[in-house]
Amino acid sequence: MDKNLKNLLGIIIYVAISSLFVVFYSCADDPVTTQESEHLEAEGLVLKDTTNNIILKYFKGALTPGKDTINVPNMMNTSVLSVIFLDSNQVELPPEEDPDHTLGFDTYGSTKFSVTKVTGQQWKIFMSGLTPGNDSVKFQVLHEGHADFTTIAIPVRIFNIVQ
Amino acid sequence: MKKLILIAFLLTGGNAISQNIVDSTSLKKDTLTGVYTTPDIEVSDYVQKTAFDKIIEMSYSLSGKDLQRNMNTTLAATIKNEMGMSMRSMGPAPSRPVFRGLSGERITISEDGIKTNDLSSTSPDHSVALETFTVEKIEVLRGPKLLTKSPTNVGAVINAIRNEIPQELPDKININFGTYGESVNSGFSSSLVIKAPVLDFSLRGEISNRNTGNQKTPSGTLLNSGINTFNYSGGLSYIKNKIITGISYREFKTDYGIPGGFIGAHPFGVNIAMKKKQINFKLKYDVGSKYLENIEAEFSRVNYNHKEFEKSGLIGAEFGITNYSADILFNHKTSGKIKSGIAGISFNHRDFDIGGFVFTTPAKSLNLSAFVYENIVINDKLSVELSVRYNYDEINPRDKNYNSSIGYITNKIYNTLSAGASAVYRIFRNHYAGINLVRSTRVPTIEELYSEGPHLAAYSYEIGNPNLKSELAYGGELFTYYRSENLYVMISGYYNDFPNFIIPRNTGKINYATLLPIYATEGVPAILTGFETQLEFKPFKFLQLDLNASYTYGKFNQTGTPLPAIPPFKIISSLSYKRNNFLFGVINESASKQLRLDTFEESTDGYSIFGLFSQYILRTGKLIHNISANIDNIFNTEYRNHLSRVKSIMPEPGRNFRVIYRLFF
Repeated sequence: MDKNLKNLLGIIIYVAISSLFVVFYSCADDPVTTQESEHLEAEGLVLKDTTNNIILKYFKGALTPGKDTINVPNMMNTSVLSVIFLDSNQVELPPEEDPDHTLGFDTYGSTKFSVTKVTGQQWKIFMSGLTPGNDSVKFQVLHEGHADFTTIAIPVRIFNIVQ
Repeated sequence: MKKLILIAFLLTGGNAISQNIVDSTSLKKDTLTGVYTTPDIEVSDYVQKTAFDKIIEMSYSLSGKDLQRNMNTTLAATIKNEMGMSMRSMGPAPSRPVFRGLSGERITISEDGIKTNDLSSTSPDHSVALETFTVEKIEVLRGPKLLTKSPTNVGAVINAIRNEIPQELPDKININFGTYGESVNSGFSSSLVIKAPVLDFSLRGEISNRNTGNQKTPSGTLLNSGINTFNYSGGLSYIKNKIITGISYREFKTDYGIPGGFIGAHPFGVNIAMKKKQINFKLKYDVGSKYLENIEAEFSRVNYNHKEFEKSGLIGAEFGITNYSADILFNHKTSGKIKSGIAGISFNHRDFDIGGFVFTTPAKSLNLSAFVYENIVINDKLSVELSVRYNYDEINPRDKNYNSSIGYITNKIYNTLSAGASAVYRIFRNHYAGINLVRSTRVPTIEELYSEGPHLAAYSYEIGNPNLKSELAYGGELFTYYRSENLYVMISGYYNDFPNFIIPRNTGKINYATLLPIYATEGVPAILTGFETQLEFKPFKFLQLDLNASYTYGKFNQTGTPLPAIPPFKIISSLSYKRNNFLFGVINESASKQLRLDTFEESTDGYSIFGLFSQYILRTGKLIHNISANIDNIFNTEYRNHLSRVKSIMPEPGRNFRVIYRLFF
C-alpha cells in the first residue's frame, strides 16, 4: 500500500474510533437528585393535651422529670395530643406546613398500645391502651423518607382505670 | 534464551508482551533475585529514573510475580504488606491505603498517572473506584518528583499502571485471560485484556468482573459485605515517528455493602452503588531540539456518581462529580550537571453535586498549578533533586450562607507553595545515604469546609469548618541502604511537622435532632514521625528472606495526646524457595498492640498470622499458564486491624484459600 495512503487511512481510523469513544461517552451523565425543601431544625418536643397542659417534654436527648412518661388508659383513648417541636433554645416551633414533612412514630411492634393520627391534622394524635403494662414509643419528623428529627424511646404506661 | 524470555514475560505479568518480547536485548538480570526481567513500562511519563526513584522502585513498587501473588480484592488489600503501608477499612470494599499513618487526601490514588477522582479519600465508607485485577504494576511515587503530580509531597501517589492508552506498538495480537477465586468470601473474578497492532495503531481492550459474598471471619460472617464490580475499557493510540497520541474510555461500576450494627455505622447497614465514566486523551511529541526532549499533554474528563441506599431502599446520600483535568509537561534534555527536568502546568475543575439526606452545599472548585522539577548529578557520588509547585485553588459553594451554624459559607481562595529537595550520596561502592525534605501543602476538601449534616453510611453527623486554612507540613527523612548481589538493607527515619493538620474528630457530642455522634473538622498542630526498615537476603540461589518493619508515632502538638487512626508497629517477613519456574514460601504478618489512642478511640490487640504462597509457570505450546495458590491466615487466627471501623463487631478475615490463574497467548 502507498505510504501516504496508509497514513491517511490511519488518521481516518483514529479519528473515527476517537469520535466513537466521545459519542459513547457523551451519553447523559447520571444526575444527582437534590433536596430542595428545608430541613426541620428541632432539638426537642412537647406533647400537649386539649387543655394545653404539657404531658411530656423531651429536649436534647433527655426527658424532663415528671413529664417523662405518656400515660394511656387501658381500653380507652387519650385526649387528642398536639405534637409541638422545640428549637435549640426550647422555644416552640410553629407547626410545619410543608407537606414533605410528616409525623412518624415507631411503637416497636407494641401490642399494648397504638398511636393514631387525627384525620386532617398533621401534628395531632391520640393513643389507645390495649393491654396494661409498660412500653415505649419513638417520635420522628419524616422528610422525604428520612428522619429530620428523632427522639429516644419514650416510656409509655398503659394503666387500668379504677372504677 | 527462549526460556529467559518466557521467565521475563511471566515475571512481568505479561507486560513484556507489549515490550517487544522477541527483543532479547531488552532483558536484564536483576541483581537481587538473580532472574532476568524486562524493564518495567514507564507510565509515569518519566523516561529517566533518578537515584531516588530507584530506592522507591526497590522498596515501594509491586509488579510482576509479586503483584500476581499479592493480588487481592482491593488495591489497599493488595499493597497492605508493602513497607510503610496499612489499610483503613469499613468492610472489605471501602478500604484505602494508608502510608506512614497518612490517609485521605494526603495519599493520591491514580491510574496511569491520572487521579481516580472518586470519594474514597473523604469518608471511610467510600471505596476506591479502581479494579486491581487488570493492573500490571503498582508504584508509589515519592520525593521531589511527586510535586509534578500533587502539592501534597508529605504523602505519596499510589499509581496503578495498565497502559490504557498504549505507549508502544506490539508486534502481534496478545491476549491475557485471568481468573481469581477466594474462599473467605466465595469471591470470583475474571478478566480479559487484548492488545493488538493495526497499522501504526496500538489497540487495547479490557473487560473484567468481580463478585464476592459476605466475608467470613473466625467469629462469624460479616453481613452485608459483598461486592459486585463490572469494569471495561478501550484504548487506542497512534504511534508514528515523533508522535504518540491516544484516547481511552473506561467505565467502572460497583455495588457493595457497608456492614451495620456498630458504633460509627448505620444500624442496618447501607448499600452503595457507584459508577464512574472516564475519557482520557494523551499526546507526546518528541521535539528533539537542543534543550527540549519532548512535550506531553493529557486531558481527562470523569463523571462519577455514588448513591448510598438504606435498607428501606431510600437514597440516604448521593454524590456526583464531573471533573476536568489537563496537564502539559515539558521534559528537557541533559544540560551539564542537570540530567533531566520537567516544567509543567496543570488545570483541574471539579463540579461536586450532593443530594439525598445530606445537608452539605454542592460546590465547584478550580485548581491551577505550575511546577518545575530538576535532577542534578553533581558527581559520580552525589545526585540532587529539586522541585517547586505553586497552586491556585478556588472553591465556590452553590448555597452561600452568612448565618450558618458552622460559620460563613462563601467562596474560598488558596494560594499555596510546595517544595521538595532530596540528595543521595554514595558512601562506598554499594552503600548509599540520603535525605529528603518537603514543604507540603493541601487545600481543604469541600466536605472539610462545608459539611453540615448527617452521613448515614458512616453514621455520623459531620461538621465542616469554613475557616480552615490550607494544611501545611514540613518534613524530613534520612535513609541509608546497602545493596549487593544477595543483600539489600534499607533503614529510613522520618519526621513530619504539621502546623495545621486537618482532621475530623469525634467531639463526644450528639446531634440531638438525629441522635448521631458529631464529628467536627479542625486544623491543629500535629507531629507524625517514625521509621521503616527493609531486608532482602539471599543466602542461597534458591532461598530468599524478606523482611520489612514500620512504625509511626503521631501526636497532637498542643496536648501531646495521640493522633487517631495511627497504625501499630508492624513486621512482615517471608521465606521463599524458588527453583526453575516454581516458587513456594511462607509469610508472617505481626503487629503490636495499639494503645496510643485519641479520645473515643478503641485499643486493638497485637497479632501474628501466617500464610503460604506458591506460584508455578507452565508452557503448553503457544500457551503460557501462570498459577498462584495461597493460603492466608492459615491458622484461622482471630485478629483485628486497628484501622478497621468494623473491628468492634468482627475481626479480620479468617483462613482464605486464594487462587489466581492467568493465561497468555
